[in-house]
Amino acid sequence: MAGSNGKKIGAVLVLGGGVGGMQASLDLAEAGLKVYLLEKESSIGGTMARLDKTFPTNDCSMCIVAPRLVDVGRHLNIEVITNAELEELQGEAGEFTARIKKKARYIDLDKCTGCSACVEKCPVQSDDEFNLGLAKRTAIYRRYPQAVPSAFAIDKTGVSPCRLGCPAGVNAHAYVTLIARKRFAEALEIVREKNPFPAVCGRVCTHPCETECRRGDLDEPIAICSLKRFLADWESKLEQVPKPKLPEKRAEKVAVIGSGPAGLTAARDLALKGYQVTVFEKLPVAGGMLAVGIPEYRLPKQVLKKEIDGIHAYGIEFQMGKEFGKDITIDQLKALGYKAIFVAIGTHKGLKLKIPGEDEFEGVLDCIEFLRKANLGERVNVGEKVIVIGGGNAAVDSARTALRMGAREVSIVYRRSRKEMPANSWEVEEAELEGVKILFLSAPVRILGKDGRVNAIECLKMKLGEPDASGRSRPVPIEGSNFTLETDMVISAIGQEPETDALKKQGLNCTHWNLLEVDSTTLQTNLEGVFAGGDAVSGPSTVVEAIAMGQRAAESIHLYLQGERFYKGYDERLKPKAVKDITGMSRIPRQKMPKISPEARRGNFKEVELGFTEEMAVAEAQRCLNCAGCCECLKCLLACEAKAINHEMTSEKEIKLNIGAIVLAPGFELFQAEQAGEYGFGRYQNVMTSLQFERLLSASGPTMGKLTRPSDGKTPKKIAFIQCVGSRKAERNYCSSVCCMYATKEAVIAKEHEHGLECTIFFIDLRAFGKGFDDYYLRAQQHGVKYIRCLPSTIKEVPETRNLLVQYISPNPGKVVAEEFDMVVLSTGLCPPTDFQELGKRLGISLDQYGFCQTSRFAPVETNRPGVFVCGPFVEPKDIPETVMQASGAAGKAMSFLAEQKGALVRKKEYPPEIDVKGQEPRIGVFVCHCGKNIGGVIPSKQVAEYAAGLANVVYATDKLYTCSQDSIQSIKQAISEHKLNRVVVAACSPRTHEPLFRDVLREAGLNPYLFEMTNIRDQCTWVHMQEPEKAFQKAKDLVRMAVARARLLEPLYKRDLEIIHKALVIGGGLAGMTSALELANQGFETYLIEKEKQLGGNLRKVRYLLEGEQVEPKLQRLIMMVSNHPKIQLFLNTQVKAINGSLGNFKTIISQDGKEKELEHGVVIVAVGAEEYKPKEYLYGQDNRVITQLELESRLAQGAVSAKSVVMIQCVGSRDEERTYCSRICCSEAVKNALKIKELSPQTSVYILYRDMRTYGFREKYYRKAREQGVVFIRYEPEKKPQVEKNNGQIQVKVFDLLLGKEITLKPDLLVLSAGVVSRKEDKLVAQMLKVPQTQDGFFLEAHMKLRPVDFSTDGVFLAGLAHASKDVDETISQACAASARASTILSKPVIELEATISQPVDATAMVALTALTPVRIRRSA
Amino acid sequence: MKYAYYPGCSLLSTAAGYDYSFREVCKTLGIELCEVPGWICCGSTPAHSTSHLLALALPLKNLQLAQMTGAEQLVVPCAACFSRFKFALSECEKEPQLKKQMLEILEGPFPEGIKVVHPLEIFSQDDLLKKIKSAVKNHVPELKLVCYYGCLLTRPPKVTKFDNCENPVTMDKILSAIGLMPQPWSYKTDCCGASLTLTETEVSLKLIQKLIDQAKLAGAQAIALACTLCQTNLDTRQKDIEKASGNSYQMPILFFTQLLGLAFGIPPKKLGLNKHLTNPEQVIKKFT
Repeated sequence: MAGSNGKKIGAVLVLGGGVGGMQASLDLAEAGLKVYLLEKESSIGGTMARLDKTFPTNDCSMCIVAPRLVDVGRHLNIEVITNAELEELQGEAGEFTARIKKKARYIDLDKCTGCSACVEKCPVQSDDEFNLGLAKRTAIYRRYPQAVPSAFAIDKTGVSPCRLGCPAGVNAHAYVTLIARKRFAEALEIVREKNPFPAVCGRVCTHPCETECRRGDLDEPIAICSLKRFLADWESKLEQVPKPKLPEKRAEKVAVIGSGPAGLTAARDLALKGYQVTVFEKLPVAGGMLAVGIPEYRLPKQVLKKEIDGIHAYGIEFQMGKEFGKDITIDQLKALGYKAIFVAIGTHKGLKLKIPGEDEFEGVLDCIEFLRKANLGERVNVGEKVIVIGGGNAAVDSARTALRMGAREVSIVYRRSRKEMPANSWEVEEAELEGVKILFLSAPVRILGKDGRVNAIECLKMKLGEPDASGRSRPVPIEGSNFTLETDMVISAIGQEPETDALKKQGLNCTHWNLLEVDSTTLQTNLEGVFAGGDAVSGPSTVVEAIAMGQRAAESIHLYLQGERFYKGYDERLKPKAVKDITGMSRIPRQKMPKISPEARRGNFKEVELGFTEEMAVAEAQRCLNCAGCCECLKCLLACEAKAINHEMTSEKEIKLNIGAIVLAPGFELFQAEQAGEYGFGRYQNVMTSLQFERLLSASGPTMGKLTRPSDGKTPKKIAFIQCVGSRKAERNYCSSVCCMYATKEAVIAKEHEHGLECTIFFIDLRAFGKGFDDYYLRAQQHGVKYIRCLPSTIKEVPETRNLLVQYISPNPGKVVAEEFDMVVLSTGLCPPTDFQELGKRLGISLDQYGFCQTSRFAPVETNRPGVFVCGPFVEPKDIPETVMQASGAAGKAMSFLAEQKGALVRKKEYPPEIDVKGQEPRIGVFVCHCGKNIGGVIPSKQVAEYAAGLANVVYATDKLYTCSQDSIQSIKQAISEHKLNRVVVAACSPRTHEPLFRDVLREAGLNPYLFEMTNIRDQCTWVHMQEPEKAFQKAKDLVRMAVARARLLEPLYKRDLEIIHKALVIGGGLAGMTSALELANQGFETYLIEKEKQLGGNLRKVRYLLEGEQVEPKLQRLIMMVSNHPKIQLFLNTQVKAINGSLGNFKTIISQDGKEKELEHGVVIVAVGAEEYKPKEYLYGQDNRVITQLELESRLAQGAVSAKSVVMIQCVGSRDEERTYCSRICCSEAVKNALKIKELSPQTSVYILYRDMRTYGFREKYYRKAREQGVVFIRYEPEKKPQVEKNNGQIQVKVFDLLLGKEITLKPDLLVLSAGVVSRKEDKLVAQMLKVPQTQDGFFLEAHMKLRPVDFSTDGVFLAGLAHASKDVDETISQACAASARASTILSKPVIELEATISQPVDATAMVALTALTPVRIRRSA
Repeated sequence: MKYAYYPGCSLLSTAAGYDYSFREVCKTLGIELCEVPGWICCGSTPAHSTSHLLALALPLKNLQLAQMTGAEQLVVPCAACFSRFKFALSECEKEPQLKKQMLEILEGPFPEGIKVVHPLEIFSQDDLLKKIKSAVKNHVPELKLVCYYGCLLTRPPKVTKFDNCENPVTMDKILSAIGLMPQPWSYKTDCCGASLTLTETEVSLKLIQKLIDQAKLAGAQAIALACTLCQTNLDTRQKDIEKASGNSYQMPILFFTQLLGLAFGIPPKKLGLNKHLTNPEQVIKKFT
């Protein structure tokens, strides 16, 4: 069938990996088209993977969707592309190019086994988006255990601001996060990677990281600096400190001049690279300004010494008392064999005040000298009244030191104001606390003295002028404002510079600021091999800047010595800054640093700050917002044995795909519950959304299925559900269609979870319009779920208990009440995906006013752009089965469009050669599943496995959390090869869903797939015996023992190919049948279409116009014409089906046309026999011609005239009663449609609609509102008080009890219209019998699975569409008909069908006799 | 920053403290206020319960006058006045016919270019929050309070376009900026019954009692507000509810501007804190 002209491309892009996208992908791939499945999350599964159970069958959502996930993940012709978004679609239908943006996963999909070892190592705790914030997860994560692909992913959003803020590039995010997890040693390791001085920097760093900290925008930044100090303090208490690991020594020697932070950092970094480093220091102590500049009350000598001792451990040689230029020179060093020299001599010369008297009197000195002497313990005579001049940290240090050395009064004189002070604000605060006075806007002009000693200082007042080059306001002297201050000691602290004389002598160039001149990138001086850094280059700066320069120098020297030319710099700087969204976050105060009191500081140099305790440090670290997601601590690398993690991946890349068509299945977004402010979501902890509640109920959810309140973890006793949150509002004028049922289901399940739980559902109309839904609703009521027809106006939180007061109008007796609940669940509506607002425009797809994809009722899966098909809630809010149908329908449309390209791009699976097990003793492997809590929560799966291990022939037995997850499958394969297994037993769930998967696993491992045995220890064991775990445990062991016994007897089996007839039979020539036939014919398949009437059209002939106003007749005629004229369709009108024989691929059907019988051969059957309008027996129907049905009214209205002045419509005639409990789904919209038509034709006519619940679901809601606006009167009645219709003097009278007025009213209509339901036809039972397919008790055909197989039967090769399935609207019928043909096409597109290899064989004569009485059918093991 | 300022009648009488404190705080923050020359009644209650046209014309007339100050924005601290101004603009925008009618009544150009703002909207802007933070002089106590916005500022949301209708946060943000501790509570915009306080006193007392009880339950030691009517109602009726309930209340009711003023170190008297009936002393003395 492949390519005739070869122009179209036989590949389809499916956008969205939810249940719709998966269905479309599987159908397309099975029909022979190559599929790319695009998913923006890191795994597929969509919303269904998050649900707990599904209505109306209460099936576990995960259990039914997991096999489908696996099918998609394993399909040879489906390429799943995760973390990816469609950017643009170029080209024309048939040959599109899709441009795709794919975000990095940072995990190699092929290597990751999903073992989750990395999770243990990851220190990050982020909100778990899959659990909607109800739980935390690590930054390396898998969204849920069954996720496909099962590989993990890393959540990275850039580089944390703190990390970017550190000049030395220390990864604060990582070490803070590690502290939060109490992993102090690892945290310290991270600090030391870039900074050899954690104890020093933890005390004196100016912490620019904290300025950048995003938490500062919320409350206060994380105390990063103090946390670093905590680490150093913690280590100092250890008995043994780990020694640094040193590399092999290199031959090259490097000299470092100066042992300050710059010099020592460079020395350490070079030592870490293997260089032999010698540090030369002029002073008797190492540390530079750290040792002689910073006073001891900020940085104790012992702390510094310990830190420097630590640096000795890197194998660095120290030569003390060696002055550069005097004791050693560049030339000498070079002669000694040093290949490179790093000059970091600091700025140890104080600047002069340059005012009269400065050099004249004793008691005037500079701060460098003063602090050095104080630090080295030399005697300094400190005066009584000390004046410090300057505003930097050195000034504050000098002042505080003077105070400690006995000064009675210390003042700082500063020429600008407080704001301009360069000293750290916290230092200034401490100084003031200690009693230091600060005179702002004052500058010294003269120093006065007596007897050679200073006794006063003359100052001038200043004012602030224009900003200078530094951006600070320039101080301007105020003429004549001179004043004098008494003093006996003046310390000048106005700046410092390096001692450059010796440098210049050796030929080093200096700048005009008297600083060393270096290349700004490489830090090389004008002399070859001589580098410089630290304060001597930058001028007086911070410790961390010095460390940064030391780092850079080391890197530069390394490159220089290795002959490289370019310095690369920090890569992090090039990466984008992560910006955390802080809206709505709660404030947590920063830990306060404990300090000794200001009084206790005088006269001593005790350290002022005491450091955090462990509790404080951990609490403080837990305040971190994790701006970047992953903190790049790289600990996961240590855990990953598969070497699957790669932190260096480019964050984003572009992919281009060539495709012939596209199916959009992007799903929906939940309404943002915060927007319904009256209900307090986001403010009240115990108000949650329905999807959060699903997670709470789910066994794999954050509480493992235990129902607890977020505020206190207590089990709620009373839960309220509020419907229509975000739906049916003026601004979102549509119904979300699914909420009534999911709330009902959640209430029922919650009650099952918690005995005695009270559930109340507040609603407007209860819209249980789907197949089997009304029965479910009734059961819920019987179950004790309370329904109150009122939407609450507001919720208040009770502060003490966090309970919720729900305010509403009680229906009886109509009073406003405030009822207290423990928890409230908001049934949030469905909104279109927001990213499509913009993407839609780029793709050229028209959206409606809300952002849903624009389609029409007659073309429900087609967008306005040819070749672009659509399905699911993106078209209109809808439930799972409708989504699945529509997905198959969209796939069918794509198949038709690319019909000639089927098979062009697909590949076939290659298996390894099969191992011959003939004659081998059975070697059985047993795998026992926990199925999360489903099995493991009732019985100890591990012990079942242990039991199995003891059974004969079992050589390997183990338990698995989820045996079907991809990592478990890998381990089964591994076990087969490692233990030479030749039989495999899985004790888990249903073979119906999982057997094919495990059989394929065997085949992939080289075993014949039929050497597999499965036993169901869940459905018929732990589920049914939940209350008797002991007995269930025993039963599980029995089941496993029996399975093992059967496994011993297994033999290899082989499949046969079945030739099939590539033709289809469609029964029914209505809308569904015609659509199915046409789609199949368009795909190139010969199709027989059987219609019992004389003409095509079915019920659609009686429909004249749609709710939206569209005329039906032209569409119908066009469809009939296309069907009648299609060369591939053989039409049989006036024809009955007499008998259907055969099975999948080879059916033989006998038909009878005008009495003549004929046999047709075909491979598949589509049942589209339809249904009909109920003929009412009630309300005088048939007794008075003024009583008619909606369809009858419609045909009258189509003729354009309404003579009635008053029309009454009664809903639910023949529906939702004792005889037929189901809702007919379409009658409410029918009534609204016809009411609007009446109003259009005759605005004066009064229309009353007597209803029970108006079920105008989806976009039909808009017309319900419109009808009310146009004056149609809606009167609700209760089923117990149905309207009474009688004739009185020839006048029809309708009596109805008005619930709002609380009394009966009488209407006298000229026309009474009955909204008669949809009923199945009795004669169609024969078709069901001939096909051996089941029907519901109401005579509708029963599909294979209510949720996931809505058009299939459990009999292979037979499909279902239209009203025969259940009542539905035109668009739904068309979608389902397309779906049926797509499903049929997955069979017909294959050249042959592979037959099941298991065939029953009689083993003895009696059985033979018994079997001859039966038609041979394949024996299926029941699930 | 220059704003035209419309104090309205209550800020000159019952809510003088609001006027004093607002002016003081603006001075500290460098906000220039220019009182609308010759301003007249905003029409609240008397006009809007008698004549629709008058009720719209009065605020618009004031807006015309405000435009003469040259300011681009008019600040209206009284919630009732604020509501009237917003209503007048919104109605005229909705109905062009009405706007035409107004033009005839006003005898002058329609006041297009001037925006009506509430002090909460001004102070909660990011740059002003920063200014407020740095203007704090006094030690601010760890004072728990609740912010009460009342019914007029946020409703109807389409008209006032103020903050978040169901859960306004501007005042919480402003008071958090100076270090006070606004407590979450559910009654931020519930009615205090001020308009019934004279005619249906019993109803009003019930509503007041509920509010103060709930504030206490939320842990509040004071209630901060921004509506003159709420302040009068909650401040003056506490004796009555004490009598009726037998409970002892003594809940200080302060304009948020008074709290800002205290943090900025402005003497209590200059903030009108001597004009309260329920003694705010226990709050004042906490600021040192």
